[in-house]
Amino acid sequence: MVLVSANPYGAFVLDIRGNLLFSISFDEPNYKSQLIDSLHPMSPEKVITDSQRIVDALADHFKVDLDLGNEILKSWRLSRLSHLKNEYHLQIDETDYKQKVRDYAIALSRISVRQHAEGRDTLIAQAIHAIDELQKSFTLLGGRLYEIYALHFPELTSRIQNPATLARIILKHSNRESFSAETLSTFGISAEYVQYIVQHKDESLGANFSVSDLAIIEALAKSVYDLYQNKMQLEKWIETVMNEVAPNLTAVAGANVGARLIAHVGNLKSLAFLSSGKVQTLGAEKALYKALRFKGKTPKHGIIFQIPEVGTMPFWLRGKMARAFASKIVIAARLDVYGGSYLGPEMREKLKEKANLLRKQFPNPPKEASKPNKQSSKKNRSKRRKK
Amino acid sequence: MEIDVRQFKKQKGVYSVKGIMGVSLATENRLPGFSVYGERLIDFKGKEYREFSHKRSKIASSILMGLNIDALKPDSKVLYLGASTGTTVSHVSDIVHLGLIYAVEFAPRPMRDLLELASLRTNIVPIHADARHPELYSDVVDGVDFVYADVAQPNQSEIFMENVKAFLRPNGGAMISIKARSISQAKAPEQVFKEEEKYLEQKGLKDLKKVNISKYHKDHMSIYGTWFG
Repeated sequence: MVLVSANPYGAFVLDIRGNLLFSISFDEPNYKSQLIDSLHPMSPEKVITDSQRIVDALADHFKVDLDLGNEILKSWRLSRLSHLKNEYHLQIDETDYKQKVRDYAIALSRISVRQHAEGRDTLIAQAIHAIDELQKSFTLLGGRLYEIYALHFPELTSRIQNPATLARIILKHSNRESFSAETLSTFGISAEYVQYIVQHKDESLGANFSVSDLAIIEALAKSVYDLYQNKMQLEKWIETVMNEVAPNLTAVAGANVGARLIAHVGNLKSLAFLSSGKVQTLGAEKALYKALRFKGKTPKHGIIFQIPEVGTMPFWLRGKMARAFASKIVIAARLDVYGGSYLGPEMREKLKEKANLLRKQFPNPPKEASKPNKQSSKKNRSKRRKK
Repeated sequence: MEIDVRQFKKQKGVYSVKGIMGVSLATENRLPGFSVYGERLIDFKGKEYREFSHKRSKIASSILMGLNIDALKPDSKVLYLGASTGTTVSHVSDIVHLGLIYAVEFAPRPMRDLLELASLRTNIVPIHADARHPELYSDVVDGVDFVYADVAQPNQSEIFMENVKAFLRPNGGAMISIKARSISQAKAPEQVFKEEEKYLEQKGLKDLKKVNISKYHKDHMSIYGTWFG
């Protein structure tokens, strides 16, 4: 039996009484194989260590026990500098030691932070947040574009639904006098509307704008349209990356919901480690904790609600469907993390079947539980709180 | 009103500030001219101090509420679990300017800021690891005089005591900021505090001193104890 203590100077191999046998510096590029080669002739029946780093290096070759409570290793750990000085005869003082520890720790931390940044799933999480923020800005600025352009040509703005289309039209020709039926029909506007718009261009309720006024509006329209395009690009990109990173999850939950789930917990691995019950209510934390605190009803679904099969279910089946989806999502995420086979589409099919089955099985809402009445539930809650 | 900076009670390295609106505690800036996270810098009699806000830092609010952290001295070695971006860590680094602070943080985003801070302050040792597994950094950390845990986890006391057992020298001090809401949403905070205190006592932490900091940090309590090995 031997003990191995790890510190910034390397792996220190001790015998059972705590005498130093030999040491190997971590700075050696192949310290792992050196350590293994030097331990082999001793053929120890067991290696005891207090460091994961040693476990990682030796676990394939020896029986390794991780024991933070071992007295000898603990005494090395708690007064490392004096052990290094007395037994290893290291000629250093406190300052040198601190410097060495710090350099060692910073190097290790830098590597692991960089490794994390290289994970594609963290990029997905950021992209999802970006999409939400782009959407918010797009709606906000789009609304403003409507209001501004309505001052010039209200008959056009009242006939167009999507801010992106309006922005494209304004970028094509901002002055209402230059509108023509041909160009308008290229934007996918119905013939009826085109006729209406062209009719009113000379007798509009709107004011006449100068060229410089229109230039400002065009600039705003450009921003709105850019936001829209940027968002579309990101969505497309997420779709491809999600298929790369988590094909099973994407097949089961869809790229958007899958990415949202990943974004919510931070990365794919943490998602895979969750229980399905947790996944079911991800995104509904506020309702969940409120329910737990006041002993109310816990939420049935969080982000999962956005999956069409869950969201379009009648209310008395949503919980069942959400539960089924949550369990498959976790399985899919685990398949993706550990490189399992591609079973996603199959699982999605089964879930669809299940949805149909449920609809047939429970066509009517249960008798006692009619659709939850908001007012009554509020009353109940306040009563419970008083108790 | 004239500015006045004095040592705060018995707490070495922590100063009480009078005469500036909203500032009550400060530490001496060991890196003069630099403000780490936008805190106010105070010049007094040729020395520069950094505002140590009790509203942001649980250590500061505990000290302000009357807790004396004996183990926090200029030459202490400190193990700080849950270092985050290093706002409080930077103040501890001011206080233990002759010692060392091992700052453990698991989340990569705040770790980036912490690494930057550590590159400026030579007594911070940043560790990117999960505090639940002390074996991940037992090669870096050696015996410390003070363990502080600010990890908002359901089993935070367990994590804390494991680290105390692994790294704290006998007669060292240990302090934990308990966030009742991350242990249980359903139980009343007072009950959670009682249970956690009992757990710490059971695990061998002695002379427990409690200070409720709910005034500044909602549903939080700090417990300080001594470890005799």
